[in-house]
Amino acid sequence: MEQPFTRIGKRLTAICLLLGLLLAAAMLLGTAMGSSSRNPLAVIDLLRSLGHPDTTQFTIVWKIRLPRVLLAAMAGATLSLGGLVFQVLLRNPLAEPYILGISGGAAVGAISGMLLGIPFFPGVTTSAFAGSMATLAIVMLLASGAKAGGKDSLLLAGVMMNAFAGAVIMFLISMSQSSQLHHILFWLMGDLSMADAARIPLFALILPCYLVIFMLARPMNVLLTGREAAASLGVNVQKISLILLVTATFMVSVVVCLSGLVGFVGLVIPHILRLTIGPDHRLLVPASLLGGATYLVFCDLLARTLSTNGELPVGIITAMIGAPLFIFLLWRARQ
Amino acid sequence: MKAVFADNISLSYGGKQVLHNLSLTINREEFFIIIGPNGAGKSTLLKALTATEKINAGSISLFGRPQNGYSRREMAQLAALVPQGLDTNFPFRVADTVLMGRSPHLGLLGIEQEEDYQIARQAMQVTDTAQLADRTLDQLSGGERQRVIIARAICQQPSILFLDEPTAALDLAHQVRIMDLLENLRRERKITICMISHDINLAAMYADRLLLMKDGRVVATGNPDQVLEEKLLEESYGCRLLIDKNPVSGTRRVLPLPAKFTDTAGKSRKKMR
Repeated sequence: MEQPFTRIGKRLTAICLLLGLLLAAAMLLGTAMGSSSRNPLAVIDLLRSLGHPDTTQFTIVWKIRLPRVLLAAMAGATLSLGGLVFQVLLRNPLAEPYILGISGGAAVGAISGMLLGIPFFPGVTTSAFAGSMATLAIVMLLASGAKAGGKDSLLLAGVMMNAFAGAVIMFLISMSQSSQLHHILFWLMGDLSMADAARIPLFALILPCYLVIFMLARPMNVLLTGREAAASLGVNVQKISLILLVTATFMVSVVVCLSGLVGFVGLVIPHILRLTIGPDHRLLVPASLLGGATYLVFCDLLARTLSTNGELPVGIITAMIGAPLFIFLLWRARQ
Repeated sequence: MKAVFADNISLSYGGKQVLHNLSLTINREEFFIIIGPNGAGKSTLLKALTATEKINAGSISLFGRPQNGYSRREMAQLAALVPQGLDTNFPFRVADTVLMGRSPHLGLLGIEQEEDYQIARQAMQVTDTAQLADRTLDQLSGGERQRVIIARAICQQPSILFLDEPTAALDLAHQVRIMDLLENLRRERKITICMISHDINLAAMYADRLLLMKDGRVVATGNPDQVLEEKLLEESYGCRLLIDKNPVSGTRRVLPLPAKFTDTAGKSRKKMR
């Protein structure tokens, strides 16, 4: 008899293999290429430099580029997965940490921490988490009042909180006499250049979040068909929603601290993946991780090599790709 | 042992009491239908019975065991709920939607075994949805979607099936098709059926017993002939009714009477002449 069901095992292996290869390729290119070597053939030089640890090339590649590529991969994976989780929780395919103002809230918290001069970890990370949780609470409160058109009111509340967070950030910056001003402004636009090897241990905070979300992939599927229906299938809806909400907000906050405001990754990647592999989250969770990582490594590579005059913040690239897509999706949803 | 035994249950939503000291029993392998006017608390009662909503007072037991003695998982293995609809914002394929019914039976990682596929396949055959397997939920008609939701519930392999107006918004042929399907499940799979219906005539033909509710209270319960009394129904629904006998099934037949055919309206019509 024909087999109508999605067989999870085989497809999962195939998707992970394919996207894993793409990610490996993007990371190799990202490590090899840069402002000093724009030619993709630099990959060969990279491999050659492995044997000569005392050259400048070796230092650039392993001490500067590699940490940066790793940070880009982790930030991309986290933001993409964060978008996916918020889309499930709010049952809205347009939800995304940046659009909902959650990234903005985290940035307010992070900047306050930086200006106060408290240590990066756990100080700045914690204040960023507090900022994003507060924003999320306000957005959900604002949106919960409206019954009809609840989807749009959620986006609207997010946009307004984002604008408000932006104003608070500008206020904080203009009031401060901090010598770090230039650095903070650049970070705000979404910047991976402050990556250094010392921050890589922070990844340890985020990896468990991935695991938690993957374990909840099946309840996420059921949740998408309706809360009441999910409850009748034995899903503890409130508990699982809370775990997902806190986990996603936490990992996004950590990434905002590390790389600033990089928007729309969580919109673009889950959307493309849902179109190609369907709505099953047992596939979408790992695919979003790998796809998001590949995407941001690639965007960062563009940010470093497009301009001959210094480099662009990667947030500009992702917004230039993501914002038009968002507008297109919004337009199509109204047709 | 009763399938459901609810004793003096009360439930409040945001300060407003919806169920008032309500008691009911549902026998095993019974076709039990809850009727009553809008706002009577029928859906809330269903939520209370399936433990999706907590009761404030009273007690409920299912198959001889107190409701709060079941874990969520055990509860989902015992009782399935067919809600009025499923969200289709994220359109899953029909086959995968039905397979979700296996959730309460799967292990920690939630990977299905051959047996689970087999059960889902059967559930689709019983509900005549196998040919829809590759379509997504948003591509289905109302009747097809309702059958898919029932297939998912069957896939849960429950002992009792709760349904919230499964025939609402369906045409006559599809209404009968769904009701026949439920009757078959009851007879062949020994599944107890408890459903809400707005269609009193369908209820009269299929139900073993009826429960008539109004304002969160039980007005009457018993076999259809006992509950479908003119006085009880007219008081509950607040309109004039014509009740006679269905010549084919022998059950009662209930028709609402528009004002223009009732006495008071007749008088005013005479006056107008």
